[in-house]
Amino acid sequence: MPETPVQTPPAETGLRILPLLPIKEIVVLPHVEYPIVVGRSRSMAAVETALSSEDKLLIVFTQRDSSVDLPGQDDLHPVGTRSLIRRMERLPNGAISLSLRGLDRVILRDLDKGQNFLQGKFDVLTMAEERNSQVEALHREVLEQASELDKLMEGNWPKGMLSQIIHAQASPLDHVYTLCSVLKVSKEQQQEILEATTVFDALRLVHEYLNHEIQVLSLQKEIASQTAQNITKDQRRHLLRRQMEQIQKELGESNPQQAEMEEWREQLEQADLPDAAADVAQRELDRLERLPPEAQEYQLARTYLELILDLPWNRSTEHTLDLTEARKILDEDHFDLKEVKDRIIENLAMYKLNPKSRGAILCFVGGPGVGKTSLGASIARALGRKFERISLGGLHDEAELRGHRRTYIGAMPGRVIQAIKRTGVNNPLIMLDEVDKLGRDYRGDPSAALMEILDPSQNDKFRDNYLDIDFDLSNVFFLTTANTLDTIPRPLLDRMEVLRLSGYTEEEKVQIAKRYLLPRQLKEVNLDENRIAISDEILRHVVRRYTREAGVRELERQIARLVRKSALPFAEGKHEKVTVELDRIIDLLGSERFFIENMRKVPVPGVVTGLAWTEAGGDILFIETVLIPEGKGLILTGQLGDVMKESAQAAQSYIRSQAEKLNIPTSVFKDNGVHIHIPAGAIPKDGPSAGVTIATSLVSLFCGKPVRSDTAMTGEITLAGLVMPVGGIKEKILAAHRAGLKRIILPNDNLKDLTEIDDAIKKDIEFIPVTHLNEVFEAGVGGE
Amino acid sequence: MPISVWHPSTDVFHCDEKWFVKMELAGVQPDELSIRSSEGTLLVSGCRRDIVRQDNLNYHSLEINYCQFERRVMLPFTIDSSSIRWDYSNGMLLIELGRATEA
Repeated sequence: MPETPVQTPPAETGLRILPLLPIKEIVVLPHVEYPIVVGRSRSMAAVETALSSEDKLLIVFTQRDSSVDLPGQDDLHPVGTRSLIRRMERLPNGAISLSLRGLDRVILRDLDKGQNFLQGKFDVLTMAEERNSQVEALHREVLEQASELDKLMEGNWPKGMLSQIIHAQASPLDHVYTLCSVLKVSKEQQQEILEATTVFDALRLVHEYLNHEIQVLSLQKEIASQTAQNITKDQRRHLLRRQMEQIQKELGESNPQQAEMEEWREQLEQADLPDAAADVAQRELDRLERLPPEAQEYQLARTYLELILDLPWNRSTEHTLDLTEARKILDEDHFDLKEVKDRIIENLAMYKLNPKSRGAILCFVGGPGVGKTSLGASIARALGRKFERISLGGLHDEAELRGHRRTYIGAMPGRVIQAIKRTGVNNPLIMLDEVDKLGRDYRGDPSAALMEILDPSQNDKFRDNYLDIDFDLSNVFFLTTANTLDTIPRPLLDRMEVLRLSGYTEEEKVQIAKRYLLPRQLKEVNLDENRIAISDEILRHVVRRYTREAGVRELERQIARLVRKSALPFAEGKHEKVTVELDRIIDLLGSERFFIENMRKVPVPGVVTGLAWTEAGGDILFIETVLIPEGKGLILTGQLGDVMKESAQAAQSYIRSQAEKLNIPTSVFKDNGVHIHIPAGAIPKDGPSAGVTIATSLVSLFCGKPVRSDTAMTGEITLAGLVMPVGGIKEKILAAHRAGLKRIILPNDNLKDLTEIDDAIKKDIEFIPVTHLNEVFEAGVGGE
Repeated sequence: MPISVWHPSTDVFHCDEKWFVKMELAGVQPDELSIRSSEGTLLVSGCRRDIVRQDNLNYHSLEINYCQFERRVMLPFTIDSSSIRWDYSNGMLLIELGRATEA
């Protein structure tokens, strides 16, 4: 039924020109009311004009770019809204606060910028009221979405807000505009909706937007609920921990772990680590923090971290390299050893000229007590480096040097890294003691690891199994010591430059005792030479009668004993100076231990003095031979090695083959066996150097002529009777000199070794160089 | 094109069989008033224009509703459109309605 008009006003003539208000941030939609504050003077003028009109209307257009201050037609979206000013109020700052109500959609035809405000010519855009099933379906769908959105946003806005707004209205278009204004639809989307030409299009746009919004919201909600779960778990732990701390505080117990972590962190920040190490340390610290202190892992990680922080990655001592000073220090600490000192100074000189140079590793070889280790210490002093000693004796596990991997329980870094850690600098002098006593078995070969450590071209990236980070060892000055070279693996020996420290002579020992050992021992008992006087004569007597060694270790012990006994009166409160007298020595040190004149005084045929080289220096030994009547063959006793036995056989064969020339009746060989014994029987002996001696003793025996007892000999022989050079001449001569021998028969080729011998000794001993056995027999057996 | 922008306050009352609708509607030119009825609905609409028209007008605040208004009043009976009488004086619009007789 149509409406019945009772009273109708005249039809609207259509206002086609109105003041235009450009707005920046929002889009005014029809049927929706907006609070707007107008501040721009042109806009205010437009509003003033609208206010003074009879129906308070203006048109509102949204700017495309909100940064434009004086927009032209191109800066505005073409479709805007005719709006009514419902309320208006002036704000204290001069701006106008408006409540604008959108009425209908208009399209801007022309913009008049002539006045002090904008005026727009426009047409009203009508929208056909579509009432078809498509619109209906879409409309219902939108309404459903709105209520779903209500559910999703529960708690974020008043319950069922959208549904309430929507049900108060009727037309689909109303719903579209209202939803848009309430929801967070962007300016661009709102403009698009405003420009939609049909109800269906507008609905579709809103539908799209709602759909998107619902998906995002449900996803957001899902994420939020997940994080909420995580957060509550974390918060719970945090809370509990806080409570625990509080309880501990109340109980007077602090939390050591927390404090420790802080400390670690601080240390790590301050430590000067290379990047690789810092990374590893950081990772380890993070791991440590997550571990409970009770875990076994915790201790492991802690120890490891401690090591990384303790290692001197970039810490080093400034080393002085004053060659004169270095020589002075070496001389101060050690007597003589001129050759070795020269070599050390040469090395230092090379190092001074080119600090990058990688000189060979020095290896000191010599008997015990000759001062290898203390020489190392004094080189360190001369260089101004820290000294650290690693004893390799008996080391048979590669892991000892290179460390165990951390997976093993009780794993530790290797000795090298430990030594570096102890010194606290990355350029110490490390002495690898007793390289000759490295063991080797199925657990690995430590000498192989040692090779890597000593190789200057590899050791700048030394990787300890435990540390597992490259450590630069190239600044470390390595020294090695050994008693003998025989047991050092060849490739390892190749990397080292051998410096021999042979034994000291008697005179040297006396000097060492006087300058170093005695003052040191006196210092031990806190006395000086003004209180206890020990003359050179006494020292020499001690050297001779109480020691027999290449080094001075036993000598030091004897001197210590002497000093100790002499110091006794001072401890008992006496104050007179004590002078050690020669005749009191037996009281102080006990009976004499060694007799130098143990060269046999009465020469007997078949007994000859030989010279031997031992690890303790040289020694003399006697070769005794007897004929065994009606015996047969050759008996060799005295723990002789194969080489020595063979040289005995060679000696016998040579003599038998030359019997005629030597005036030996052949019947001697037929009727008698020969027994050769070399005392002391308990000490194993080997080597070819006794060949000459054995041959001489046999000749002496067969001829029945004794050999001069002041004559000693050494040399290897061949079946042809040639005398070959042997080693250890210096030690042997020292031993002979010690034993009081006067003549030494030695291979001609060994004459060059005599340069190493002190002139004092050369004066005492007559050297007889030989090339053939016959000369030996002549010199040894023939003369008299 | 009718745009409902504001809704005047309205009383509805009856005296025996006579029903009245009273609206507070000041400042509207009577010829701009539209009164229609359709079955049980009474529709009053129109336009209130500002009567003060002069240059250099400067509003300090504005609270009165201008422009189109519309009010739809639902009644519990079918309106007899021929029985509608109205009077507009002192800013009050009083409409008298008659019940359509059941035919």
